[in-house]
Amino acid sequence: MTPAARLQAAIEVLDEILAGKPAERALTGWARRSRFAGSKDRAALRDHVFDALRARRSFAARGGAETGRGLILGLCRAQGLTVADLFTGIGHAPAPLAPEEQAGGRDPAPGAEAADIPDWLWPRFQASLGAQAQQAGEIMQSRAPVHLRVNTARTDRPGAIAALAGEGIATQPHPACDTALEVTEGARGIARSTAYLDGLVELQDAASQAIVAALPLAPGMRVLDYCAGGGGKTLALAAVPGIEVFAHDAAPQRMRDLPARAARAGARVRLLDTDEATRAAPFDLVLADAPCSGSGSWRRAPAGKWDLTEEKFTALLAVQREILQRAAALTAPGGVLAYATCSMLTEENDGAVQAFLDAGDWKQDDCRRWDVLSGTDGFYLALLTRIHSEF
Amino acid sequence: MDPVDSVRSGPWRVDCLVDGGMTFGTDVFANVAPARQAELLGAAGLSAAVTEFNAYLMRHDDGRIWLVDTGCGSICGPEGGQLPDRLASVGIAPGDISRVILTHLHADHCGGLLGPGAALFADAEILLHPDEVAHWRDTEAPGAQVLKTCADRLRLVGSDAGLGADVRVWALPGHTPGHFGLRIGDDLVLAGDIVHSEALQLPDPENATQFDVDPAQALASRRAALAEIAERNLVWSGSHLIGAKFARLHRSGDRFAKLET
Repeated sequence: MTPAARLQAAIEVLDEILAGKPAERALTGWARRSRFAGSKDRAALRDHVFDALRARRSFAARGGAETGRGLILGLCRAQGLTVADLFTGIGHAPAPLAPEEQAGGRDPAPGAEAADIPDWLWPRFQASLGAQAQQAGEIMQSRAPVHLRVNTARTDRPGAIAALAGEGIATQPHPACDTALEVTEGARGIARSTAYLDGLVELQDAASQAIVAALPLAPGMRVLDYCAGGGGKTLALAAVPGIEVFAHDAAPQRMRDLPARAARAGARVRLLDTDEATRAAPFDLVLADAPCSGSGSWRRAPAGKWDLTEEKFTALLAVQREILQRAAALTAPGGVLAYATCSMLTEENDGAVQAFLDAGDWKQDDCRRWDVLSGTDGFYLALLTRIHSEF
Repeated sequence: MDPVDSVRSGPWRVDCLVDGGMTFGTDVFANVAPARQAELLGAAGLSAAVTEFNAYLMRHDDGRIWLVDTGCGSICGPEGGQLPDRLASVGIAPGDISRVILTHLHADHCGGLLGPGAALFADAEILLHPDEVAHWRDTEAPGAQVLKTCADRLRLVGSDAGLGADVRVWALPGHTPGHFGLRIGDDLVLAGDIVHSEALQLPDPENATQFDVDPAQALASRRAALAEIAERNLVWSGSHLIGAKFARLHRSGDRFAKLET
């Protein structure tokens, strides 16, 4: 496919997504219909589509319309491409620009539009990130770096780097924590690599790994991942020697891939439903990686940014507060409640923790934040312990 | 690390091991006006009610090793939890301890049996008073957790029970229902939590913390214990003494003063 034909394909797929189809389904549907497309074409199309979804607002401003065509025109203009060379109408290329398209479009207004953040959220985003809000928004217009976690139960960091290099995947150590690698070349080959299939490495953001590294874990501890989801952090926990790891999720179907992932990693994890978790309590450490806006990982899942509404956000805040209470009840006296989100928004982080502390006899021992400005996804971690004030 | 205060009584060598310490706010001694607290603390050369968490290592000449209280473990945060290091500094591994005696089930005494270090004294039997079990069993306090985790190795000891090798339980109820100290030989006593701040409570035993479960009974126990220590010229230690850990007491009327040995 020519570069221009890939743009036209992106226009069509984006139109389906704007009409309500989930991005992944729209992309798979296109691939199934387009037998002529090679893997490079599919990869390029995917990049265009996700670029456009991440920067949907600013591209719509530049392209003059929030349509597939408007977004891709905006993308071309934002990337400084010569639009007339691409929108030729020749072969499978997009049709030439109409006069109103040539005249339409403008630079996005500074603030929410240029940072690709919804208007209702912008004051909260600014309050949370201060002077760096604009920059954080702009960083999230681009693709996230690919990070790997070295499975220390199977190998060490130099061993993983060497194994990956042998399969054409170049990596370098990431400073966020000592299990993290950043992929600098060959990211697309990871899923088929022996190193990945044999469990030497897992796909996991460096800050997500740093969260687990920041937990005060010691041999003999019973640890519950209370909101395990797909189990990325569960597996990172299971790689810590000497601890017993349990996984729970309010929606157990989210954990369906966890047994297979655990087997690949050679890890032992016990899955618990809510009743079982209550019976197995107390735990020495409960990690509550709560459902959140996902604002720290909108680069990876841009749809979340545009689907979030003020109403949904308020509902999330309530869920987070409830999870803190429930997780606290499962934490042993002397144990640690670790509250985490993949958000950079204060209300979901310090706000939730402060409300929890105000309501009960808990104190905060430590608090860490990661944001997209430091080259990772945005994450938050607070370590909480009970106050015992009888002597 | 600070040198360890030790004392000998017959075949027993007793080391006081400091698990940590903190400063009580004036609200802790709720029945003492802040101005009066400042005055008493000032007289002792202090600016606040400083306290420490003391545990005791008891080593018998025949090789028996007992531990009285376990410190906070991780429960009190960074202010406590140093007991394992202190034990190591006197050459004792947690597994060497055959018996843990809990004066009562407040977190700074039993916390070392919980949390990440819970396996620490896995081989020791754990002695405590039945009234303590009854008081904490159905609560959510750390003590209840200790009762659960250590259920299979608890041994209940009554108010005047002999524990062997000339060591007896010294019942001092009030602070908690099953709170006790130990009489070791004829001349040494460990008095547990009868005093939380020597600067505030020795000059006036009426001064009390809000931690006493039964304040009247706790006061009676404190008075009787201090009187006996002074009268019999015993060497004593308390779980919250600062400075010299083993001392005698001088009595004048209802006032007491620590006499460093």
